[in-house]
Amino acid sequence: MSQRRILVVDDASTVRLYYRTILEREGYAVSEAVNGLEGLEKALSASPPFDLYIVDVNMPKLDGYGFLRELRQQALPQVPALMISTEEGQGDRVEALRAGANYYLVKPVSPEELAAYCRLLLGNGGVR
Amino acid sequence: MSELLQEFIAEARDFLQEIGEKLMALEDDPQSAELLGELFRCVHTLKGNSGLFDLPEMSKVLHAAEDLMDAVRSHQIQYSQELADTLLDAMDFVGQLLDELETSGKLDPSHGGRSVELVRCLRSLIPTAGEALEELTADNSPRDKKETSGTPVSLSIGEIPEGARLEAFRTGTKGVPLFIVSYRPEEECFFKGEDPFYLSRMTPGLIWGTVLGRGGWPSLKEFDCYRCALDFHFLCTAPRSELEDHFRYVLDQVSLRALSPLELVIPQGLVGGIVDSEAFVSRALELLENDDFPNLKILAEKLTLGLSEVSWAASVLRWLIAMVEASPQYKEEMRRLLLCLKAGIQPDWKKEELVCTEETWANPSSAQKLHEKLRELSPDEAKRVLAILCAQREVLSLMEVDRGFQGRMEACAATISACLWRLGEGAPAVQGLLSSCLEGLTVTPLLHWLDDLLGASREAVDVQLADNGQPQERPQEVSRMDSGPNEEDEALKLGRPIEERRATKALKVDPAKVDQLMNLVGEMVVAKNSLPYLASRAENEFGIRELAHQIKTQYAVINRIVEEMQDAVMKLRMIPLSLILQRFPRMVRDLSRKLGKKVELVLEGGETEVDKNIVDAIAEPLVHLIRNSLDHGIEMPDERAAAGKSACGRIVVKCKQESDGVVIEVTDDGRGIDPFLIKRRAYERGLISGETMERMSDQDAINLIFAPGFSTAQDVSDISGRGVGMDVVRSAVERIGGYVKVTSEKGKGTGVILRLPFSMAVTKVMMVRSDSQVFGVPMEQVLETVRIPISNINSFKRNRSAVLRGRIVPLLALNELLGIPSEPVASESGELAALIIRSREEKVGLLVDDFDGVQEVILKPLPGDLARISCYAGTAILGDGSVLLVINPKEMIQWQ
Repeated sequence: MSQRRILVVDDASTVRLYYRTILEREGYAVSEAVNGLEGLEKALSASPPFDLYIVDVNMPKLDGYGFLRELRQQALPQVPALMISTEEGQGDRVEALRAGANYYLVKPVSPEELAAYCRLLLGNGGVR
Repeated sequence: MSELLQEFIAEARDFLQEIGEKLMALEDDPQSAELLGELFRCVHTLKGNSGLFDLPEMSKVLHAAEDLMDAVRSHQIQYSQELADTLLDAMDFVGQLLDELETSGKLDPSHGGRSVELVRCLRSLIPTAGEALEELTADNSPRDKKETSGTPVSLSIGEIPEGARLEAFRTGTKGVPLFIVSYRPEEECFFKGEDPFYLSRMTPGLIWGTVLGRGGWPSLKEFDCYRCALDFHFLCTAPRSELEDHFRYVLDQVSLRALSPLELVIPQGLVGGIVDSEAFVSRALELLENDDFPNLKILAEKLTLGLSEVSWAASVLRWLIAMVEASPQYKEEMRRLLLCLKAGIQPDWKKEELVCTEETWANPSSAQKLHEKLRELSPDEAKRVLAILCAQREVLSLMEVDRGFQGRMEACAATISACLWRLGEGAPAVQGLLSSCLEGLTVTPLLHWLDDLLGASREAVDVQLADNGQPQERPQEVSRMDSGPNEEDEALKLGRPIEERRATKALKVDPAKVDQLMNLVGEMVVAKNSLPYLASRAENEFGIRELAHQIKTQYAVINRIVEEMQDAVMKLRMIPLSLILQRFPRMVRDLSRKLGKKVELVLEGGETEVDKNIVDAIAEPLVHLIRNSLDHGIEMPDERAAAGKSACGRIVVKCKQESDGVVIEVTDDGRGIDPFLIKRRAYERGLISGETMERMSDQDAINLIFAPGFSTAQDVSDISGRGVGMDVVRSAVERIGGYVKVTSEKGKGTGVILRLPFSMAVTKVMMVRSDSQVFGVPMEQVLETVRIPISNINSFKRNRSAVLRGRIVPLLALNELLGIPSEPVASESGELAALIIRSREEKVGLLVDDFDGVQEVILKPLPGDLARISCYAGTAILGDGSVLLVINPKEMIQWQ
């Protein structure tokens, strides 16, 4: 099985490093983007496409919702997206799922939790 | 210290800086929604980052700051000076904690008090005081925030009266969307001017509604009738957008659940008491088979007449009639309903529909299978699988048919597949379902399949989800990350083939590494200088011209490469001056407020790039200059008004690049320097004689401010202090090879000009010979070199001088300064070589035996105690390997 690729979209470099450390330990290839706009560029130009997106909500230029909404309109193989935010309200969760996220976690996310969800969302073969 | 913590500290500093800048900008434009939004985002992200570590004091303060900014952003309160001050205080505190974290790797627990104090200050600015109390009381215990908003436990459809359901069914079958709306108002809603009851009654397309208590009523004594403890549920027929618009102010307190009309079909009633049901059912089925709907309806109506209204059969018949009326599309469902008539069991619509739409999806045992597989997993893992599948169900029920429909459907299907793969369960059906969904522009096939799959498991999960709002496995070990660097570092070191290791564009490098590179390049510059020396030896000593020529050619190549390399490394070390300029707005703001002065600070040319060492060296002097301008230059507003100036003073810091270096000007439009006052003060201090005072020009008087220990301020202030003055600025600037100039006009203002080199890595030195030894003199001290005929030198006692372009220049012999007991040697043509040196605005000639050209060297300060001897600038290694002693004539002359 080739290495699975994950795109982390978050404006905080600390958070990106945190995710990267955890995910690389799990054996995934991690790419980073600092906002939704950059994330979109990377997602569109990635070849082969990413297998999972991990997206923050609050970001400059293009926020996580906007990123997902745009992403889901693109003609590329669509894969799961995990939204991770500091917002706890029910409205945000609904907003995330409607925008195109497939799961929603609230920060802080423990390494075990992140790894477990990524394993599930990446599956073994998927429909790709 | 772990890499993560370092990253956090570095990023947090950037955020603090940004927050400071944004607050400054807000003072000019307090209404800017964009700025407020950005400010909130900064604080918010910073708070989020701090949550990764176990830093309760910091997180608490940031959390309060975030809430405050949120209140400002949402216009609950106005931006104010007080607010900015409080926020800046809080950020300073965070900055302190960061410093401590960086030096010691942990936080001293003694900050608790200050953090509580800051949280209180921040919270006191937020209108709703309730939370502040909560925060304070919950201070030492882990924060368990009570869920005040959220979604109520959803209403089961069977609880809705049949009449309402029938009505909704009829509307729904005409294609109008059906929703069950659950609305849980905030407890404090009455204080926010909300009227939940009115809002609920005005819901568009309202068919039926109910109000329920949330349960767990407190005793009458504790009961607060001004807090809302009610949930509202209603059934309505309206498009989602209309409902969302209606509830737009309380959207987070409302949950919408889309219904398919069939879900409403739940017959209810007392079973039994029906006469010849068998005959009716067989007749009805026959009519249904022949599509004779009108007669079917008549038959059903007839039978109903003889039945008790509350009986099960009557209920079934009412639904049957409604279906007949609605449309013949429910033929299959009607058949199913008829079969249920006698049995008194609920028809299972989901399975029914699946069967009739496409055989292959139906997998009666899939729910069972999932259940078994889940049991094989750990409880945590099983919970996660169910949570993800339930989330997909939610995704599907929220789905709207728009441009992103296909993408979201694909992602949802991919998620379901992935999840099932983890269970060791392929899901080939999903792909087929996905295609039907995409073709029909509907989510139904996949949604129902998922419903079926989740089957019984779902209810358990639903309850769990309703409890928490979302599946919660609160991380326990998060704080572990800051103290345990080894594990992840090791994983990184193992060097897995990881692509795009560093995605970030900017590279953060330890300055020490750049310094090392710089030094190596410097050594190389010197080492390459040995090539011409070798070439001349090859030619002169060994007589091999050809080799000498080749060495020279090679030297030219190496020289070019080294120069480019040097240039490249220099650029690495170049940083924009804005890095130090950016602290000034805050400083000027704080100081001017303290002094009661009004000052506008203008920064220009911050993009000018200078070597890092230079930036480091002039940061303090610049702070000093600006403080001086603020404290001594700019007058009090009324004093300014009296002088006919605008009340607001102006300090301009202008940076620009010139051919050989950088010029920084600090100018103010304050009271300027009074030469007379300076002279008198200098005289009083005994710095000048009365006679000198008389003769002194104004510019010379102004230059007196550079004299050590000179200060003209009348009062000692805690801003500029006393004693440390312009002399410190001057020596700092001169140490890096720059110089300072002051211009001032009384009543108009003062300007200080700093001229600085770009870089101080490579120094140009003039090589001179004296008593057949070679010495270096830094080029920036050398004004010119002249040869003076001995006849033109005047001697007066032991002092020598010469007239140079109409001015008398004192001459000193280098030998004498160095204590070498020999006279300078004149050239064959009877001339003495003299370096003209600038010393304290005066020109002095330094007599040497001969000049020996200019070289670029890496100047290294003398080691250890020797470094304190200011007469020597340092040493350098020359191309032939010999050591060059570089002297500092300026200091030497003063020692004289």
